[in-house]
Amino acid sequence: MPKAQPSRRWLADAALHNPVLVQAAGLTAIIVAATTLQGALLVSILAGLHLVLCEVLASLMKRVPQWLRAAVYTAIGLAIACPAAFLLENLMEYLSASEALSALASALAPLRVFLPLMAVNALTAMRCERYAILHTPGDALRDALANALGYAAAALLVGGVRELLGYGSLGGVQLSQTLRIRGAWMPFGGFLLLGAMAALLKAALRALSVRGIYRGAEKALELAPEDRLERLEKTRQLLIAEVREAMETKNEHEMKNKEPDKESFDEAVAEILEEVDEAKQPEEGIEEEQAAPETPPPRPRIPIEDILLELELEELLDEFRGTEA
Amino acid sequence: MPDETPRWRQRFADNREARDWNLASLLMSLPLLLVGSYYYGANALRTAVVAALAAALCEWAAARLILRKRTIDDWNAVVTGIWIACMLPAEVKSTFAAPVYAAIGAIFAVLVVKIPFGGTMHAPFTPAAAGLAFLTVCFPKTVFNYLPSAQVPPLYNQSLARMLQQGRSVMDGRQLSGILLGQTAGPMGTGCILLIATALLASFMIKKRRGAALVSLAFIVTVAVLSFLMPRVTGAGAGVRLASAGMELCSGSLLFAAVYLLPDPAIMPQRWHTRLGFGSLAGLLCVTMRQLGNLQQGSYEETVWFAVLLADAFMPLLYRLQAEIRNQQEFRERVEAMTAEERLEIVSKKEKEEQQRREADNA
Repeated sequence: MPKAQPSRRWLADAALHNPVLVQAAGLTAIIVAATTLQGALLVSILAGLHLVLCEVLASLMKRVPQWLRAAVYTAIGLAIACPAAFLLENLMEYLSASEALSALASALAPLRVFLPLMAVNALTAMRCERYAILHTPGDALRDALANALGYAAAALLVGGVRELLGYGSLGGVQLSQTLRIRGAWMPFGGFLLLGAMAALLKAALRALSVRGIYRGAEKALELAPEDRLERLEKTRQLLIAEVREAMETKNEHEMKNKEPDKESFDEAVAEILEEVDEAKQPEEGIEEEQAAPETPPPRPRIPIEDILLELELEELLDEFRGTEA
Repeated sequence: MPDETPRWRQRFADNREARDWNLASLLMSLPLLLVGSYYYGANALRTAVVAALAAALCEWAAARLILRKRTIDDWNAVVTGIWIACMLPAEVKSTFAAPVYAAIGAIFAVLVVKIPFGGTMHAPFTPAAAGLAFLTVCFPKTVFNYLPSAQVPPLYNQSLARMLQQGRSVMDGRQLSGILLGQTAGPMGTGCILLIATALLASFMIKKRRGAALVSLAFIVTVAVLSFLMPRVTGAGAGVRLASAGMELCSGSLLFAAVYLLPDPAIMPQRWHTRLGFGSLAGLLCVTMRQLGNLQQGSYEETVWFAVLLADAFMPLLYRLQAEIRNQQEFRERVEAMTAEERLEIVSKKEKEEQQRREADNA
């Protein structure tokens, strides 16, 4: 069975598997430190830098034992966080001295606590161990960039909204004198905002996915039955390959010295085959009718249940990959 | 982990029972609104109507879009809006008018506490308490900025809760009637202690609400006893302690929360002893927060809704503990009912599993 190739839609993965809104990783820094746009930008830069360096290095450290890799990630994080903390201290002194910029200084104050914590960012450890260690440096770099972009997008959005609602400004520019909701820059406001954004993202992805499947189904209706069968067969092979890769990734990390859980994998594959076979049944009925040329074949239709089954299969794949939708 | 949701959450057999409960709550709240409108004029009614409408519209739209079902038939949104309005001042000197803040609290209660969890009977926290907690954290100056009533001037220029924080006692026999009738600075609908006490008595007389009344009583007794033992009023003697306990019960929205917020049918336990424990826990948390608030400058003068939310948060833990104890009791009874051969079989099976696990670890 050929190894599944890494996805080429790495930019789309920044939304589909967003590290903050879907994988729920690296939340602490965003909730506490991303209370303004500037704070969010700083958090995004640091997290992105840490992620890129660690993932590329992790892809080169395949023979290094796991217990040592964690220490390496932390060391890289410290190598980034310590100079950044030094720079931030000097910046804070300069900002506090100026009356106009003292608000910015107070907004950046939470970063002082969280810069050292960025060295042990959960997102970095997760991506390195789940992806980078199993792929080439090029793929690891692409994955790191995608995740860093996704992290930055979420952080900037959260920071912007919290600054607008909490301080009435955006990027330091005062927009409203009356809008001041204290809860927006508090941690509980960050949690609520992240939850709402995660729900909106999931709803949007689901709506797009359904529309995409319906469009796909409409195009499929125009195909001849043989072509449709061939398409279903290809989909089946792709799904089996993806499930196999997901199970291998999961098993390699969770059950190092044991054999993979063959039973659950076989069950999963059997389920997929059963569902795809059920989808094939209307086409088989149509083929028999086409043997009698006098009666025109009924217009084949893919039942709605199969379209919905595809949706559920994606969520099944997400579960195996360990993402939380 | 045993799933307690079907048994202790879905308390009502159908939507009609839930609607009857909420309509009864609404009926019990209307006299408080009338007294509030007598003291503070049309502002009080306006605030309540706006909050109720905002909650109802929000729930209708959100339930239609997200839950894909109709949930406003149970009238819980209207009750939530009215309770939030009752716990706010009728008039505020702030950026926006009082109805706007009440509407914000009601929308928060519906969108964040009710809808994401599937509606009224699945919400893990009391929506009105969550709405007030949100308003307290976001707009503390507005929530505790009590303007005096033009119709009936208040007896004191500060609220009882603020006076307790300063250690002042005002429990005078001559002014007790005024305090019981709500002639003190405070939220528009929670000051009339007499009406709230009447609502509590009425709950005891209605069979279906007796459980709720038990929770309220446990809360009130706990607060009274702890306030007596730890008075916030400066001075010594039993008289001072009694005055402190009396002031604690009459201050802010404490009694209102005890009678209306705490006995939420979606969260309240079913057994009488657990209900007593739930009410006592909420009372303990409330007194603790008030005592700690005395120690810290600038703390909120009213924290009862935080205590209600914390007590609600403890409920799932309590049920899991109960389920665990019940499972262990059942297991013990099952083991005692077994024969010696069956017990030997189980023990040898466990020993084999343990041995296999040790061999796997060694390998």
